Amino acid sequence: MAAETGTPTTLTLKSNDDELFSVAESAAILSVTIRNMVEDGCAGGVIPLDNVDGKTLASVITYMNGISAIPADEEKKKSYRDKFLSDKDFETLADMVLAANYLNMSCLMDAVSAKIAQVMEKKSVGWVRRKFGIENDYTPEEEAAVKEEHKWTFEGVETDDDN
Amino acid sequence: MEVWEMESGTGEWTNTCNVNFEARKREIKQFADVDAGMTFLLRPAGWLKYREVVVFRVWCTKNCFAYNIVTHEIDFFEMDTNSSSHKFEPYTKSLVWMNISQSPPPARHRSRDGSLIAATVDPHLNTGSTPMAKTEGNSSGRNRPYYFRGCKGKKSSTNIDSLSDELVFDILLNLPAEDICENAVLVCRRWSHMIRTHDFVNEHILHHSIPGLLILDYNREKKKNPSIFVAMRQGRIEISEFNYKMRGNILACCNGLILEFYISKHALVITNPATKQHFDVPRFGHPNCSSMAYSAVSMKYKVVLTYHHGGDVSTLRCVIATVGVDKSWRDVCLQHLSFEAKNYLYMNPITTGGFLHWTRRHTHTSVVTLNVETETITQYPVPQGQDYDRRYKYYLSTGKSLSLFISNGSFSMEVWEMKSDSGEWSEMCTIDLESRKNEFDKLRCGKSPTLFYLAPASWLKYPEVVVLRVSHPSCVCIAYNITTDEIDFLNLGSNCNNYEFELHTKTLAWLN
Repeated sequence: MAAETGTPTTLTLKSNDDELFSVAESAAILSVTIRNMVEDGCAGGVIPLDNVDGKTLASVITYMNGISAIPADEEKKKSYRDKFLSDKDFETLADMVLAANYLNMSCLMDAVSAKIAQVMEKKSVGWVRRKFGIENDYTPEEEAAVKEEHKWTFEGVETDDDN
Repeated sequence: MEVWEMESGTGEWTNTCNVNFEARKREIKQFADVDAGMTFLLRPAGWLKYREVVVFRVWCTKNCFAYNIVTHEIDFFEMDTNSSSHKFEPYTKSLVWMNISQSPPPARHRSRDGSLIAATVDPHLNTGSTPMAKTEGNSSGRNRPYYFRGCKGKKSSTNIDSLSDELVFDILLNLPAEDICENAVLVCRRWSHMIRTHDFVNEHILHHSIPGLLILDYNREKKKNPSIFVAMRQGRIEISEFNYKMRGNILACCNGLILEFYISKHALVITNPATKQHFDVPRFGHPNCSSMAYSAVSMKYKVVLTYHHGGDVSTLRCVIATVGVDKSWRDVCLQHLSFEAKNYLYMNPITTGGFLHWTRRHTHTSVVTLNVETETITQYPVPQGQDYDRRYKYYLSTGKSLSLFISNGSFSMEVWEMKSDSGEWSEMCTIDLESRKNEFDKLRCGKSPTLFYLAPASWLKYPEVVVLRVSHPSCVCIAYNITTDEIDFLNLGSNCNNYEFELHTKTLAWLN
């Protein structure tokens, strides 16, 4: 752990499909999981990340580099996060939330959770089930009962097509 | 390695024992299956039984082992993923809990000789069982740790359903209350159970704690203008129609609940328009004004009524009841209030969190504040200054505290804030739009003979954005950002002076 000061340390991360990525240690330690591994003394070796695939890891590293380049200014960081997530589709967001959770990156985690919720807003129950891969485990009677409970308006829900 | 221990009270260190498995290095290396190119490092992860059994992990592999310092036995076990991505915490299964909330969270009691829980940071594994290692009682001479393998991590990239409850919880917290009630509860049983817990409801209230603005037409009987909801989201102002049709007069808004007076039934009803729940309030004669506040400590809502007979101060009463608990009303002691202060109680109070405030705009010297937690009423002085008694004053709720606007001129005002528990006032800022008054010219009504000036209507986002209206009849009100000095014009579709403004949050708050 006796990190030499002066030259920035680079870490090598390995995705679960065996892609290798180089990233500055200062950016990578945004992930508490990686920080723990670095503190465990592995700054020189390859860090295997068993639960993140190469495509998602590339995306997360883009985020790590982008956000760590911004000085302590919450407003600017927030707008970077918004911009970073703006062009991601639902599947990518789903992968990102898993990766952010595994890597223990709370700032990315919160932003992705909020973004997923934003996409879900005003979508029909069917859309949500399909996108989340959730099986409807209600009996028709139960479903009707739950609907009855919250019956006043069902206005403002978008029609049942993807996006 | 050497093992040292610190006495927490004195900070004194002692070397308690040494761990040396140099002799068994080959055995460990063989088990650990370390790639030739990787460093071979052992890291202590946690005590399984203090001074006897310690768990080590082999760096950057799935492998761990428990080493008994006394007997030198080694038990190997394997995690499902890299052991460095797990957190090892001493944990005892106990019955301890904090009985503050109605639904106690699973309590954690840590102790040195407890078990060791490997809390994985992998969401797939989290849904199943967390591996828990435990030493058996010392009866069986041998301390063999038990370990359970968690279910193998599934590799499905887009199936969010495999997310742990915590992750789904975090995502759903971000959804507006209406989406939760109309869609999310219908998705599946798991989601529905999660949403219907006190934990979720309370977290959701905290997550959406910045109130929006409910704008209601005074003449609701004629049902001409729909109610409007204005909220700040992502720095932008969003205006939408408020779907709920009021049955009567709105008396107070608190945490998403609305206290209404049903004229036809002559009864007080509490409604949550987002969850579409109604709740009846015990009856009490003919109150002159009614309000509601939330006592955060007891997590209860309380309704407060004031009552007098024909304006006779000697008949004045202030009564309080806890919603869902009390069947009858309790009196709040008013004896210590001055004659003038008692007169304030004829007016409708302003709700700020767990407090109600009665004021009078003019001829005033004090504010009367009721703490709904302690059910005590206090009279606090208001800021005094040169010719303050001749200037226009407006009291507005910030949601959490009481604010006072004192006009300095037609387009400028001082803003003060009162601490509800101490009655202490501090000056927050001055809004001065004198130099920008030309921008408001379009709201001026040529025919109106009255003076043209700005008056505050409500906070939209405290302490940044305040909504102002003009004294002339106009459909447009002004959202002014105090921090950025930006001005937005909001068209309400009808004369702003016919509207009342209430702070309102869309929440899942419930009462049973």
